[in-house]
Amino acid sequence: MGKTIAEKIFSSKSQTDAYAGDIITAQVDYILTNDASGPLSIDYFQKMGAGHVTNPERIFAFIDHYVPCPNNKVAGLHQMLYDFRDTYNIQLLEAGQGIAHQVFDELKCVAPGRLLVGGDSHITTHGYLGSLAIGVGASDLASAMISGELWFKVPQTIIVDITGRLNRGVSGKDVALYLLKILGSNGANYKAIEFRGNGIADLTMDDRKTICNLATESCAKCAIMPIDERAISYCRDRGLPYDDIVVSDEDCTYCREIHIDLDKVPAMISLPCSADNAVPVHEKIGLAIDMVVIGTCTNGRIDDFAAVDEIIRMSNSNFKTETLIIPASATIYNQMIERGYMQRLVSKGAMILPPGCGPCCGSSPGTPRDGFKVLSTANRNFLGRMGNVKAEIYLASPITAAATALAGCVTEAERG
Amino acid sequence: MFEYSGKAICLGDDINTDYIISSRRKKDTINPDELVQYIMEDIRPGLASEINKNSLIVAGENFGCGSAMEVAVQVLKSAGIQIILAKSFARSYYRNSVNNGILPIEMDTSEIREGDIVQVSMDDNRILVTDIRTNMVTSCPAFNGKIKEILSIGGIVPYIRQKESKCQNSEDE
Ligand code: SF4
Repeated sequence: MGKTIAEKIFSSKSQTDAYAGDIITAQVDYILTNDASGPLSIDYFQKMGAGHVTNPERIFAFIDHYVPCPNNKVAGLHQMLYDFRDTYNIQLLEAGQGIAHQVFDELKCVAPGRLLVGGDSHITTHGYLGSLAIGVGASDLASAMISGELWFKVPQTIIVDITGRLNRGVSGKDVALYLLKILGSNGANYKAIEFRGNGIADLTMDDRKTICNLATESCAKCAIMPIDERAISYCRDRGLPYDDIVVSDEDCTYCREIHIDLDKVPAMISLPCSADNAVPVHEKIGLAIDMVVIGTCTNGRIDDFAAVDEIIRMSNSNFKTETLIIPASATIYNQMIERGYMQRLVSKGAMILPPGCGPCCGSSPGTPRDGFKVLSTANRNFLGRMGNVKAEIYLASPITAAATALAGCVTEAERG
Repeated sequence: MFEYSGKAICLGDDINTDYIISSRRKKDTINPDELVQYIMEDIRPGLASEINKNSLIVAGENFGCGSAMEVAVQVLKSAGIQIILAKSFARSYYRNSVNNGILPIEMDTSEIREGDIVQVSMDDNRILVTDIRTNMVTSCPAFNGKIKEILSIGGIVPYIRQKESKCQNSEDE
C-alpha cells in the first residue's frame, strides 16, 4: 500500500513501516523553543530529573516573544534560558535576532525530509520546504531534549490540489485564508495537510511559508509542500541538502481532497474572532481601521515588505492609521534598510518595532486601545489576542494592510 | 478500575488556549498556581472561584485550540481538574492533557448541562460516563498504547523519570 509524505517521513524516522493511526517513536532532527514555551520546558526538564540533553547543537531557543524585555519577571524567564544554555550547551538566539520561525530557517535547520518539533504551534511553517514540522507542548519538548526522540500518532493526510495562477494583488496569505474558510478552525485536527498541483509553481517560497504557517489555524498537525524546481534551486542557492526529497505514492490514501483554483482566489480578510471567519476583501471595503500591524511569523518577510513598498510608492499620502512594522528577523531588517523600504515607511509615519513577535499575542508593546479595529498580517484574531479584549482584530495580506493603512479604511489594493 | 464523580462546568465549541488563560497574564508569571485566579476570565468571569477538584470540564468541539502553550493545561490541573469531556480536542491540547495526567475523554457532550453531576468509571476495556440528571450512559473506548502507559503513571514527568532511572540502573550493572 502506498504512503503519503507524512507516512514516509515517520517511517524513516522511526525505522518502522508506519501508516496513519500507528503510534510510533521517532528520532527528531531539530528542536525549537522560545521565551514563551522554553521556561516551562525547563521546568519539566528539571522535574524529569535526567540532567542531560541529547544533541545540544540541534536544540535552539529563541528570545522572540518578549522583546525588548518588558519587566523584571520576564527578565527572570530569559535568565532561565541563558542558564540552561550555559549548563547544557544548547543554542540560544538573543532578543533582536528575530522570530523563531524565521531565524530557525535562516540557520538552515530546515531541509527536505527532516522531522522538526517545536514548542510553538506555528512551526508548521517549515513544511514549506518538505520538512515534517510539528508543534508540541513543553513536556513533550523536555522529553525530546532528553531522549532525542518523541512518540507520535501517524496522521491521516488531507490533500490540497492547487492549480491556476494568482491574480494581481493576491498573495499566499489570501490562499491560506481561502483554504481556512474551506477547512474551518478544526477541519484538519490530528491531520497532515499535503499540497500538490501545478499551481504551486506560481507561489514564492515566502508564500509557501505563509500558507504552511496558517495551516495551524485549522488545527493541522503539519503542512507539507512538495519539492519542485523552485524549491530545489532555493536549496541549492542556500547550500541546503536536498538529497532526501520525499514524494507521496500514487496509491497512497488521503482522507479528504480539496481543490483550489488560484484564479478564483480573491484578496481575503478574516473577521473577528477566528482566522477561518474569512470573506473576500471587497465585502468589507470602507470599514474604518485604527491600527495596522505588518509583521509576525506569518507575514514579516522580505517578500511581504517588498509588496508593501510597491503599494506605498504608488501613493502620495501618509499612513492614516497607527502603523506598526515588525521585520521577522534582523537579517530582514537589514535588507529593508538596504532596499530603502525603512526610510519610505518611516516617512509615511510608520513605527518600526524590533525583530520579534511584537504585539501579535500581547507579549510585547503595541497594545491597541479600547474600541480599536486592528488590521494585522498575523495568523490569529482571538478575542484579546493582542492584549486588549475591547479591540477587534482583522487579518489580511501585507498588500491589503498597506493599502488600508494609507486609506484609513479597508481597501483593495491595486498593484501597478 | 478508576471511579470519579464531579460537577459539570459546561463550555462551548472552540475554547482556545488564550481563553483558558490569557497570554497577557503569562507576562507576569507562568506559575500555574498563581494563574489559577485568571482561568477563563475573558469568557467566564468568576469561574476561577467556582472551579475545584470536584469540577469536571465539559466542552464542545475543538477544546484547547490555539497555541500549544502547556500552561493552559497546567492551570486546569492546578485548579483540581482531573477529567475533561469534549466532543473533540485540539491535537496539542490532547497530548498535553495526557502528559500532565488529565484524562481527555472524547464523546458527545451535547446532553450534559451546567451543574450536572457526572460519574466516570474506567477499566481496561472501556470508559463509562453517566450523567446523574438524565441517567444517560455513554461508553467510550479505553486509552491504549503509549497513552495508557503515560496516563497510568500520572503523566510524562513520572514516565520519563521511571525510564531514566531504568537506564541508569542498567548502566550501573
Ligand atoms: S509572531 Fe505571533 S504567531 Fe508567530 S510565533 Fe510570535 S506570537 Fe506566535
